[in-house]
Amino acid sequence: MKDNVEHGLDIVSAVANLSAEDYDGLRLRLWRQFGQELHRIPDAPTPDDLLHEAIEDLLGDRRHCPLARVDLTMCLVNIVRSKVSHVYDKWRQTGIVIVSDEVLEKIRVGDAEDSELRDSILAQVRDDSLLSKVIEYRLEHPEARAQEIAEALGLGLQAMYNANRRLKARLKSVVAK
Amino acid sequence: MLITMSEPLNTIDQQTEAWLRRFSHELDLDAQVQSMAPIEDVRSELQALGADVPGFHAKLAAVLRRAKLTHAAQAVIAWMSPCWQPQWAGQPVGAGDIPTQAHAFALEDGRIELSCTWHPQSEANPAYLDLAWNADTLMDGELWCRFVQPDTQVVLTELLLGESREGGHYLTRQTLGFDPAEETWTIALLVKEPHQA
Repeated sequence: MKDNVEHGLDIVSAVANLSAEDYDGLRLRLWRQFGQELHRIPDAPTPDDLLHEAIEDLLGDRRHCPLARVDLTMCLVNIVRSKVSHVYDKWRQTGIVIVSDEVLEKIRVGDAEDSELRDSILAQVRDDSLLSKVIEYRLEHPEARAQEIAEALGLGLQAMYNANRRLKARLKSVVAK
Repeated sequence: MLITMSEPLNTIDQQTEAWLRRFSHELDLDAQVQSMAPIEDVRSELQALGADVPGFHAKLAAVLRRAKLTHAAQAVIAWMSPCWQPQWAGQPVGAGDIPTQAHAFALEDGRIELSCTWHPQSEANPAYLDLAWNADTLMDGELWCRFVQPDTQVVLTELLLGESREGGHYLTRQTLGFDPAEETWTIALLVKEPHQA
């Protein structure tokens, strides 16, 4: 049995029909993407606050999502992204706290073209053959996204997810040391 | 973890760690990879990041309930039945003890039969209400159901059933905005002129 109360493409139904699991997945994506950036801004809303605003904007017809063409979660991500950008711009303009761009800028990790860095990266994951293959592919194809890496190596996305979990565990143990 | 420009990457070890962190972070942000995460992991990471996991859903339910009522109020009601309270609705009864409840609503030119059964939350499923209707009447418009709290007469929610004369819907607690096995409720049927966008 499916929960399909309303078949119409109206936004109220679409928002209601996303499951709690869908929302939590979306929230994690937003927290990972914007959580730190917002945390740096004094009194800034959280990603959850902005997601609520985005939902209320859609329900109140202040924003629109062409549901026949665009996935609702994608729409919500885009609205939140725009709100984060607005919060950041407003904060910069008020000049309450002046922080140089450098601090907010993510580090530009040097391209791993030099062989010493490349060897060092691979040495960190040498004992995990699947993770090594994933990283080796990425080193050779710096623009490759997860889907491309998975397809090239004949892996499922679940294997990519698991590989990243193992990588995170390694990085955590590095910090612990 | 982001490394800022104030933390120069002096050694090859630091550059290695930074590269691996960036790659891991990119995988974290990849929607397809993230969709593989078990929901328990998603929720525990959300909590670790500082999110109020249940609080978000409670607030969302309230926002949705308001939006549904606003949306429903915009349509013209052509007919509305009296409220019917199924026996044991919202009362603590064992899941296996609730038989299907049925009621016929009379209209001037026919009747609409409504039947329902409900179950409390279990390990595998949220609480839900299973609703079916059969209209022996000319139905010119959309059939809606309105759930009302019998003591306060507060409208709990209002849902579109459709334009078919016969059908059924499986309504979870999330869709209803209340628990049909734990909160008292009555139900009324409405026929509305189709919503003009």
